[in-house]
Amino acid sequence: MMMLFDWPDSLQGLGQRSSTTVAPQALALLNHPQVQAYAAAFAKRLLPAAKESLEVAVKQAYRTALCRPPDAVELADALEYLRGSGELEPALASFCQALFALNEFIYVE
Amino acid sequence: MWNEPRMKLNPAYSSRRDFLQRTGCGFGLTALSAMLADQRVLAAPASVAVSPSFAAPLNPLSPKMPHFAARARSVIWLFMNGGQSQVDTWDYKPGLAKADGQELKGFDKNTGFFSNDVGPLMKSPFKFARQGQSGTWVSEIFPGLAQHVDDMAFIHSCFTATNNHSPALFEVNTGMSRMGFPCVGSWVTYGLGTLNQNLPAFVVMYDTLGRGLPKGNASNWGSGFLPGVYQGTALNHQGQPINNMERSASLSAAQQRAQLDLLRKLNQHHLAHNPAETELAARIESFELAYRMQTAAPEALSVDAEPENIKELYGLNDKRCAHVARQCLTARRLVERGVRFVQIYSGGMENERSWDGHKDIEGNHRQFAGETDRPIAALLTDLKQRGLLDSTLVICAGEFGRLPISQKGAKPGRDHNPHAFTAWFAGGGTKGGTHYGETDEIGHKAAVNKVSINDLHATILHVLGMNHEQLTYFYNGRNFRLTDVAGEVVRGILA
Repeated sequence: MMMLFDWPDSLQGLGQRSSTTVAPQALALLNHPQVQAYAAAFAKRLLPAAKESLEVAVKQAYRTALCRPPDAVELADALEYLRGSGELEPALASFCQALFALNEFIYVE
Repeated sequence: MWNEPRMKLNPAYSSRRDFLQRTGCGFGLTALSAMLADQRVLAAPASVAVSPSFAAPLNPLSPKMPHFAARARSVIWLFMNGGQSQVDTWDYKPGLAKADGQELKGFDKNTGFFSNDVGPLMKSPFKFARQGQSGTWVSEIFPGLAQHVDDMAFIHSCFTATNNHSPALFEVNTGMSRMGFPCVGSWVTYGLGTLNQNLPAFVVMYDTLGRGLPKGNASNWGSGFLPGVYQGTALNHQGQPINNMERSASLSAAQQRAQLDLLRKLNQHHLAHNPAETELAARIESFELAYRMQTAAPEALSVDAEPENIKELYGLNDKRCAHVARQCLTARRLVERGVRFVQIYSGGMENERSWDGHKDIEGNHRQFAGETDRPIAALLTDLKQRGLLDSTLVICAGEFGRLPISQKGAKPGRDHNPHAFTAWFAGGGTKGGTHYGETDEIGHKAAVNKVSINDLHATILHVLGMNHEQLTYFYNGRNFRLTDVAGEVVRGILA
């Protein structure tokens, strides 16, 4: 997993790490069981709120993942997705996984 | 295949901020042109007009211009792991037969690995016959390859600096006998990128019968100090062939598509507030690529979809060689789809699990020739009939040769010999039926036109259109090359 994100070969010293953006990294974020497990755990945390109100759950998710509330567009997109994705908990997990794959989540500003 | 003017290879890894400062706000267009270039290259390699210095920071695997017109665009390296015996395969030595049973005078008993098992000179247990127009002497254990000798160019005078598996494997793969350096496949993908972004650029296949990995394991296809994207993707022999390539069972294709659409929307929204951030755009694109790879990779690897006559040709129905047949057929499917570099290891780790015939050289080499002869012959036939042999360089070589004397035992074997081994090439603009270099009378040491591993590497890069002295990477305060400070192109095997 670390190798995918440019973790250098431990056999050689490295003055400067490379920083790449390639599809296998995206595949890991989409399909790696560990990422899916984290998304499922995140969804479990959101579940009590989501049962009350999807809007509250999305706001909580943004605050936890990105330390900010979603703006109106983001909130609308997220709600539309959650409402159209069937059963609540798997839908939440899939939404959480998408949050992990956000540029804003991956890159340090 | 490429005849564009020579362009300097790009060191590629200036920082994002450096790059942005230099290119300023023209970035959106640059990104677009690079993405389009990826698509165009697939369709028509000759029409690429985008400078690699722009494409590279976005996608380190974008196709790049070679230094000069390339003879080949892909490589398939058949690695005879453990060390094939030259005198029992491609280096016919009547002189050895004459000297059979005699002591090899002046022999350094530490040449091989078992200094207490040194036996006398031993002739090959196999019959040899002349084959093809070239009249190449071929061992009876290669009835299939015997039909292809006029397409094969042999170098009989290869040698390595070391007599043990791991360091010799490292040397043959990376040019250095110590571990941790970038291998040929990594250098090639660093230099040229790849032609199909939906598949890994550099694919490695190792023994699927559970006999282990070559010694030194993944260091043999590691990218060393080159960026990690250039390391080989080794196909797993069980479960998913490529990690993370399969969607989880809990998610349907439609659900994943919807998830990606959401991700794309949210990312685009973010990008709109940070328009100058190139990596953000590249990251968005990488998810679309990943989605396509999930379909493209299983498709490329599905050898079972091949017609029955092709399966039969490779020997997929022949128990003895079915495992190598699958790999050779996979290799053809991969290069056909634009994969740059494929390496297949014949045999597992060492001793009786590979070509490492310390005991019973006859039984060992009959077995491993039996596993590889038909699939490799079929690969040559198949590449040729599809017109791919011209653009694919096929290499067959192991990490060293074996001694002309016997290693004592119930059934005599042969010990390691760093002083001589044969490598052969086919396709990619090499001259079929040629024999370059010679060993001494008994096949012990390379004697005429000796070819070092640096020379072999220089030749491989040359066939791919690269000057081995100009393919460099700045690391630890200096420019490094695959060929270090040596290497001469072996022009004698080129058409």
